[in-house]
Amino acid sequence: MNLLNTLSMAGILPLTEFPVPEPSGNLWVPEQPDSFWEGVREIVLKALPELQPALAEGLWACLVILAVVLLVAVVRTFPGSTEQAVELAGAVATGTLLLRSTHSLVGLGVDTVRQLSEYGKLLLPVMAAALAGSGGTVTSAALYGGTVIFDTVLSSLITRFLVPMIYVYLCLCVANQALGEDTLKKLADLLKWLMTWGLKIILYLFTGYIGLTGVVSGTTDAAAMKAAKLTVSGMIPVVGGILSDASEAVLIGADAAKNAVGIYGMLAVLAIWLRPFLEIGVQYLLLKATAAVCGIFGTKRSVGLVKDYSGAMGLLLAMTGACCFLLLVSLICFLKGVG
Amino acid sequence: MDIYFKTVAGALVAAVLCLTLAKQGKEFSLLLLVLVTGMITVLALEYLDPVMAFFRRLEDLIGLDSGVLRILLKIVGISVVGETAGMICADSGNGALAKGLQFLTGILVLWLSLPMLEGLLELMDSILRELG
Amino acid sequence: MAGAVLKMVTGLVMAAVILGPLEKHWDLDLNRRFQELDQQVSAAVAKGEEISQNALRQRIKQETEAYILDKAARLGLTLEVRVDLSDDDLPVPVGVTLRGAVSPAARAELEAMIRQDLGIGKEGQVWV
Repeated sequence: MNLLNTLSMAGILPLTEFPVPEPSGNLWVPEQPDSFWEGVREIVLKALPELQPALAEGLWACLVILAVVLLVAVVRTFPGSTEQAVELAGAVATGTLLLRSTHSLVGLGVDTVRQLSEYGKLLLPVMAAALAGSGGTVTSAALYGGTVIFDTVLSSLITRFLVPMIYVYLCLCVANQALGEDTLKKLADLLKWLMTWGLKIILYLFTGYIGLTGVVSGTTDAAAMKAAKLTVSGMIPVVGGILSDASEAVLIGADAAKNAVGIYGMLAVLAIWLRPFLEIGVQYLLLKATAAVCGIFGTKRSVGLVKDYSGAMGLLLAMTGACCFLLLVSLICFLKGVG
Repeated sequence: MDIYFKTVAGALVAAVLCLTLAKQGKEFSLLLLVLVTGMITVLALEYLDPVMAFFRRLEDLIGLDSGVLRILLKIVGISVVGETAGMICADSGNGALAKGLQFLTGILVLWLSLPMLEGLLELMDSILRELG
Repeated sequence: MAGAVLKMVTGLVMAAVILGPLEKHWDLDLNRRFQELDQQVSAAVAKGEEISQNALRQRIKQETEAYILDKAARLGLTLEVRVDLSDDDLPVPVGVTLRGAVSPAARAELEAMIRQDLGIGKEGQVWV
């Protein structure tokens, strides 16, 4: 890796001591990035062409949904037509059409969350070792432990609770369109609120923890390093000089290794996360646009159902984004190191 | 469009005739009412052909089971017929008959909606099955 | 009244049907998980410290040996040098083994330099 070679200080701390884990089965991680931004650009350029099939499929699905909403709206204008029967038919048709794409995207979202969590389990010990090696013992332990706890809580919450909640939410939305019961709509809105706030609370707590850790453990590590410097300065000049040079060289080497692993890790996390996020994002935007167009001629309830499905996609985006955000923030803190 | 205006004119004339015939005998005015209403309905059906063609096009695009649309149109048809017949009965002074027809129409609509309700339950079941 | 009761009952049944599958027992076993995490964190930090410490020891040893060889070269000596370090967190040279042909004067000068500059006393210097 060009990046690693540039950063590594040969002979001081071989990078093989901190082996960089590679995400399994992912061909998107850049092999020879010259810089972090070069790596990000490479990942984005690889992701965009892959979106075309998803975009085409999504557009077709939205066109079909438009046709259903138009049908419902036209039949509704017939004299003698019953609102209940028409909305019931609309709910069944729209729900069935949307369920196919929703199910595959929810599966993609869950898979992404799992992959991120598993990659984190491989990467974090290496980062922790590298940070401990560069003098940040207390910070390293606090960051590693905290990130693992929050990541485990978040990924468990998503896979065990939030994803099933999405299905319950969709169920309530379909039933609401079919039956027109306000209570169902309120229940669905409550669920959505719960899911959104569940994610927000975990991320707020994590950000708070990171901020606190940076202050408390960073101060401890900085004090330890200062104490070591004082000890060295009290020694015989030649020995003190040798120790000081050697310590500094090792710290720089460990820092360089930590940076190299960290930057590669961040690129790997982005490589795992970006494509699924864009695929789900495309569906979310298409459904939003479809709901806006349907709003011109569709009945309130049928347009509402399309909006609710786009809301579900939005929740999925939030879940995958939260997992990625957590890992990236943690890696940035590792990279920042002590002080 | 001139057919529409002619039909409206014809309906107004029929209304006046009904009032006149009612003095002779209520049954004559009722017969005239049923006849003219039937003719207007048949005329309305002629204009449905392009609408039905549009529905068939939408159906092909949607690609779902066409039974849903057929049921919807049956419901609409039954509602129109039931409502019209009920109003004729009410106009002729048979309120109880009108109510009876209204009840029958409602039950029939519910019976026709059953496949769609089953479809809804199946859909919810397939969504909830993902919960595992 | 009957309608309201029917509506409420239907709603409750629906809620039970929808929310029923979510009732799962979550086996958390937090104690075990925290213990495992503690072990993982300690192991990772210890590994990092070990790598760093080994690199530091190696570097100090190399630089000290280079320093001695440099001084010996100025005296016109060709020697093999091996430095021993203490086991402290900040290892200092505590012993040196020197191998090579040396005149007594040069040896004395080198010994004095090692004692003065590196703090290694006569008992720590082994001539082979």
